[in-house]
Amino acid sequence: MNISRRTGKAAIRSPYTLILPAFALCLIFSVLPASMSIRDSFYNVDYVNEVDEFVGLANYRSIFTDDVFLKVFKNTVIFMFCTVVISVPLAMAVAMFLNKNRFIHNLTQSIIFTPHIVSFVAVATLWMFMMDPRSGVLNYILGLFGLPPLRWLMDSSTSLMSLIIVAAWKTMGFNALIVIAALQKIPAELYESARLDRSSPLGIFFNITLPMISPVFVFLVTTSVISAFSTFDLVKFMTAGGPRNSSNLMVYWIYRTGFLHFQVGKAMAGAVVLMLFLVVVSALNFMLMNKRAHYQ
Amino acid sequence: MKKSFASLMAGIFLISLLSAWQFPKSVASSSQADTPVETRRADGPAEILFWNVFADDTLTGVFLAKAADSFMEKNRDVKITINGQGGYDSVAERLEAASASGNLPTMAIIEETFLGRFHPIAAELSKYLSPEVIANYQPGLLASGYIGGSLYAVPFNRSMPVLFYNKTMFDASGVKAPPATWKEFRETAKTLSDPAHNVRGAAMCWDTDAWIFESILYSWGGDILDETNKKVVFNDGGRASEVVKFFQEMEDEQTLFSPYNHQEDPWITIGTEMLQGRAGMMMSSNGMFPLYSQWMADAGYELGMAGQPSFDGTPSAATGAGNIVVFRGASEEQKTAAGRFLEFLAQDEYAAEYTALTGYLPVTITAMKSEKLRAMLSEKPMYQAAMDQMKFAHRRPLTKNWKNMYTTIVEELEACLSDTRADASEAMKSAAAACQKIMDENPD
Repeated sequence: MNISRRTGKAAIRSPYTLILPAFALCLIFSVLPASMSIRDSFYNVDYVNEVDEFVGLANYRSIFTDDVFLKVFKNTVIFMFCTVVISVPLAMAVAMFLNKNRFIHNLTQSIIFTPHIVSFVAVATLWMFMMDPRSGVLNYILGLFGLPPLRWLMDSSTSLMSLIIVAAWKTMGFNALIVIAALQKIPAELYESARLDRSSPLGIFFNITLPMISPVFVFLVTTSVISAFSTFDLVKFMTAGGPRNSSNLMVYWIYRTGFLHFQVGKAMAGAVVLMLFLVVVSALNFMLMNKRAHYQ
Repeated sequence: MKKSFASLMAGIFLISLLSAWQFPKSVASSSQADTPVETRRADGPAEILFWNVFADDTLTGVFLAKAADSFMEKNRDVKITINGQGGYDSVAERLEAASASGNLPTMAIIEETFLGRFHPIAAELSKYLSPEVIANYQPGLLASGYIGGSLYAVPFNRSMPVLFYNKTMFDASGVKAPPATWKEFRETAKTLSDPAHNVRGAAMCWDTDAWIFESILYSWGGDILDETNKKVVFNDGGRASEVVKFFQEMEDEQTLFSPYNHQEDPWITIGTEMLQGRAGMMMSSNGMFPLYSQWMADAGYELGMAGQPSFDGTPSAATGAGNIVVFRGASEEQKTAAGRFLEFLAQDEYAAEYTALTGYLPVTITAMKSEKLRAMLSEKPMYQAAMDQMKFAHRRPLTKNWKNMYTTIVEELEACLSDTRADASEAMKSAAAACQKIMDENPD
């Protein structure tokens, strides 16, 4: 009797015991810093000058009347939308094409995955060479089609687009690999049945493939959104946010405001706005996608 | 049971949230405390951690390591550890983080204008340096070490913008002397230019912190901030616009090369133009003198160096580069030892050696007259121009907002040289307004 009660208690306790390390790490490295950010966003914090005074919503008022912040926020939303819209469908298309167990397909899978494991510095350097207005290969290709050369990273009208291209290229391989893994889990019988029913390739894609990989689709959209919002390295190495903040994104703005312009409270207010926006976008994404996602 | 565990975790979560509201304050107050932190063991040496702005394997890194070794040989009660930090911004960022965490080094090299930010955590140096040593520093270079009449920093690797020119090109074009005024600069550039062969008389870069622009503005009779250090005055009377228009016009005349239509680093781009004989003159730091001399000689040209041109014959130029600060949170023994090391570095032997090695300005009056520098000048007489210019050093904008301000200014400056159709008056008016907003929002 005693033994069974203990076993029962252990059974209840064990899941909590098991998640305790993860919970503690999450608490220390995510919840606590996030809480400190929220706290600092209501304060005028200056470690060097020993200032730590409550200023209410002043930091929020400051960022929402700051043209640079509003521009950077808009840039970030555009960047997120474009990288997700480009990289996720492209990854699905590439995955569909590469979903075959042949040497050439496996080799191509490895090649397109490479950008994901290459450091951002190397990726940035490579693309900066390719986007050089004078000697870059991209302008050479434009020239072959009779198109005028672009100033890519150096022009306010093209700098953000240039970053979107690089970000989409870097994430596409990883996304494709995830989709391939999902595609390979779809039971072959489903396709056989569809073929027996003489379904068209498009019909098969929309009625079998897409529903079966929909949880992965939700995962990819969510992670791509978060990754786009937290982009820092590309901005730092390729444009430093310029020209005239045309390619500045939120995380780089937070870093610059807090560490280089020494306005910690204002930077934290920006970080909180980013966090809230990310929570809302992720929640909406889950709500909308989960209605359509098919979990086995 | 299940409920109580969940409640416990929720409790921990809540406590962590609440504790965050108090946490930063306690960290800040502990880091700022002026209470000496005794790191010296009773039987051990006073330990000094010195953040060098340059990497350990650079000329400065190697020089400082050797100097520290010599110092420690003669001062067994002090142990100096030098850490290269990889740039002025890098040091500033790390000092900011170290202030929050309470892990400041004993001393550091900072870009001179960053004193506007870090003087509250710096030690007053007149307590640790003898009056004779302080009086021997070059006054023009020492000026940016003072805030409110107190000395917080002393010069180390210091520079000023100078005019480098291709003497071989000058001789071939019949130009006898480097220009002394900006009017002469424009005329000389016209003489040297050969647009048909892609040769421009001058190449121009504002620098990432608007240093060259700032210096030219001073020579034009302007300033960045007024005497109160609160009002932005760089475009008062349209002076900054005049400077920008002047260079835009030169670019339109095809006598000036602008690097802002190139993706590479602007300094590398204009340096390459000089080395390839496609630009006759450029403004740069005298700290580049040894490198440029070597590179130009390798390219088959003779390098000339002159003081920065002036507007109307009254020279005035910005100073720049690194000063050394000691942090007040260090123990008295550490600060005293740091002071002794600064005095050691200010000896003629080291100050002159450093100039001869790197091209940075001699930071003391007596080092200028030393045997070492006399020998250097007899070999490279044009370096005298850099030394003479120290008399015309202009005060710098010592505000914590300077970085934020110059980022805004540089964006407009670059845009104006990238496309000369850009309205310089509007650009500088807008930059001045943005800078004033920055100053008002975040007063010193």
